[in-house]
Amino acid sequence: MEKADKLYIVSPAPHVRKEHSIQTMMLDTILALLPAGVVSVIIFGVYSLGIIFTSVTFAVLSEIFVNLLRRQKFTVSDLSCIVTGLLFAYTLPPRLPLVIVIIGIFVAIVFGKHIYGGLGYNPFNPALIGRAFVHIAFPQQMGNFTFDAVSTATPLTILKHFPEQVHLIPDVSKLILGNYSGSLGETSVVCLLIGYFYLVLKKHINPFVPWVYITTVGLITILHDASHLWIYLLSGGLFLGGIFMITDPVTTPVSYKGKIIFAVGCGLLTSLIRYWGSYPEGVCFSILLMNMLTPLIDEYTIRKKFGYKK
Amino acid sequence: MTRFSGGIHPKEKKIAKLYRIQNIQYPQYVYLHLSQHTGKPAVPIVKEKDYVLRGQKVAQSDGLISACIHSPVSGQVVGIKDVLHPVICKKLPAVVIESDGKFTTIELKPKYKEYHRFSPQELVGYIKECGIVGLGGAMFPTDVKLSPPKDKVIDYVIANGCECEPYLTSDDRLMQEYYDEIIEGLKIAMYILDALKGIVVVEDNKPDAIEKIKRKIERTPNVELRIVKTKYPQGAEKQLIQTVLNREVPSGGLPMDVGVVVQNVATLKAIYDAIFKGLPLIERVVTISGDIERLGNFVVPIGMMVKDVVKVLNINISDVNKIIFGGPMMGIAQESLEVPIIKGTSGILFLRTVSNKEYEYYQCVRCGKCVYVCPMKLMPNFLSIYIEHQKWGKVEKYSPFDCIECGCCSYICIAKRPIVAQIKYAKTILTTLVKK
Repeated sequence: MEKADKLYIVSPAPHVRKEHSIQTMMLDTILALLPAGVVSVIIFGVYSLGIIFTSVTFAVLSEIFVNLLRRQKFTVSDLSCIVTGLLFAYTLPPRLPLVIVIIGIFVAIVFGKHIYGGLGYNPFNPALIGRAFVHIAFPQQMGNFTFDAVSTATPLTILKHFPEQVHLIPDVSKLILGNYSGSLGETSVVCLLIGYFYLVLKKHINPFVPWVYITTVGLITILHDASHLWIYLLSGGLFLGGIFMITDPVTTPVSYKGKIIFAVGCGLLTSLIRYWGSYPEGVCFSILLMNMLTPLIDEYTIRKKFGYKK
Repeated sequence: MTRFSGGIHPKEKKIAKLYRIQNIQYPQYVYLHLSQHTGKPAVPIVKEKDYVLRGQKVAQSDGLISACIHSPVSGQVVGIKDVLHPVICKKLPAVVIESDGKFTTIELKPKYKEYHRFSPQELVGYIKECGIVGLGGAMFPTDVKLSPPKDKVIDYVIANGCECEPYLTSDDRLMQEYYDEIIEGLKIAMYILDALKGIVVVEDNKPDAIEKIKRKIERTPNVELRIVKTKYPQGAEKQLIQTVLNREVPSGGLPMDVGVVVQNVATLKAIYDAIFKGLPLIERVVTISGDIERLGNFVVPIGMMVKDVVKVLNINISDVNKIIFGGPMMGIAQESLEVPIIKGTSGILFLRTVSNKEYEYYQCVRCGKCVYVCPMKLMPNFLSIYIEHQKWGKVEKYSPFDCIECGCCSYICIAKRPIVAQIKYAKTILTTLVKK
């Protein structure tokens, strides 16, 4: 027998793959986040563009810094740091000093993600780790919300601490469009919903999970203070957190059942912090707390396998 | 009709479906592997310099789960040599026969033609003698499937014409051109198993085959046609039974545990050939496809080397860098052209892949896509992670042995993780651990 002149590539099956990747998923998330960013610049002025730009730039720089430190391949190309940068910026008040933004995003990328081993291994949502850090480290600056060049309390703060000023809260149409005092990316429900539909269309998120979360909060709100239901639902970070954070694949349970449990848990904790805790807003901490339970939820929501009785 | 959970929709790429089944010029040498079936390898009963006829048995089945092997050519036995095996991927003994070009066939005695006059045992014995195995790819000896234990009552025989793998069209062509034989084969199987009903299942992407089968079974009692939605892996036995009959084969069990026997349409044609013509399994229809110009569906003798196929069909393979036996989802990549076709080879794909970069993978981001597509409802993501970290206790908890290795998880993975390959690896590791 003569020798074979050519050897061929061997690899395990399957030999065809769907043409998508982590990059495409992250890119879609970035696209879904863009409308809210654009509107934030319109509502809060050019300075918010500075915050977003700083956050994203230093997210990339922090990522490169860790890559160099760990002598690993550069991971910027997976685009996850840009998503974190955007999400982090969206949770900040519109006139936050840029130094705090830089500190926050550094903490988010390094201590929120890379300290656990990088993308896929982080138990907590990195953007929220950064946000929680600056929230605790710089409470004064983080509590200073500016709107139309005047320091204005957010609707939730008014409801919690200054109930006598309730008449200052804008009406529902403004709450939906986003033209009121709040964090950068959280105010415009319309833009966030555009992002939601895009992500659902691209099948990156479960369409029901955000609504389970929002409904849970809504039900408890009816028990707590039904007269201001719409203000509670439409202002604050419910939609930003519900659409982009509790649907984050890495830090939430894998199964449908697990995701629903996670969303309900987040809703309960959010309401608990909002209505009975000392902070006016509880989205950030509720999601971080539920992130801790994700492995446990995963453990208890293993579905019935094919061919098994129960 | 229910649907199985999970599954994917890969690009069908059934580019060879318009090519009629053609005969191929036989090669000078055939290489008959002794292990062309699930179970014990066959034992050769010929020796060097023996003269064999076309259709003559060259290796005898060994034990209960094994199959006989016959020569597709007449000529002289060159010897028993080590040849690359397309599934096991290492060199294994094969009977090499040099053809004399005359194709002198053994005397065919189709004495079972009127099969109703014979007992099922006799027919099964003859099917075993003809070396028929499952031609869909699993190569499980057909006689074993056709002789369930006494306590198992079989009420349905399913003819599997789904052919859900991309590229492959051999079953599609068979159903269009040999529908008579397939339905007769199904009736033989129903007679042997004393089954009430036969069901032909075809995916809705094969309208021509559906039309032919529909017209054929109009006059056939107890046989019905079911058209199912095209979805991979619709052709997997367990998923097929779930879709058609809404019965769930228990873990570790066989279709006969829920009163069903599934046979591929190509296998049914082989049964027909054995019973009506007395012909043993010496050739099969193979789809030749991929990134080449010479496409088609050919009747290829078992034991023909790929290099002979390339030479005879004059396939231009200068750009080809990957050769796959079977479909792209479950098929096996071959390292060289010197691999013979075995009974389970349903197609040979000549592909051009872009680069080796496609085999780089990233860490799991827990997107859960693999969980949603797994037709066995396993958790491929956790399996993949725990196998990577060699946590075998955890791996066992997620039941890797229930995996049917369809490859949906690897296909859908956005981090490009080789999940199904990892699970196959885990299966071998866990089996050796248990043995120790």
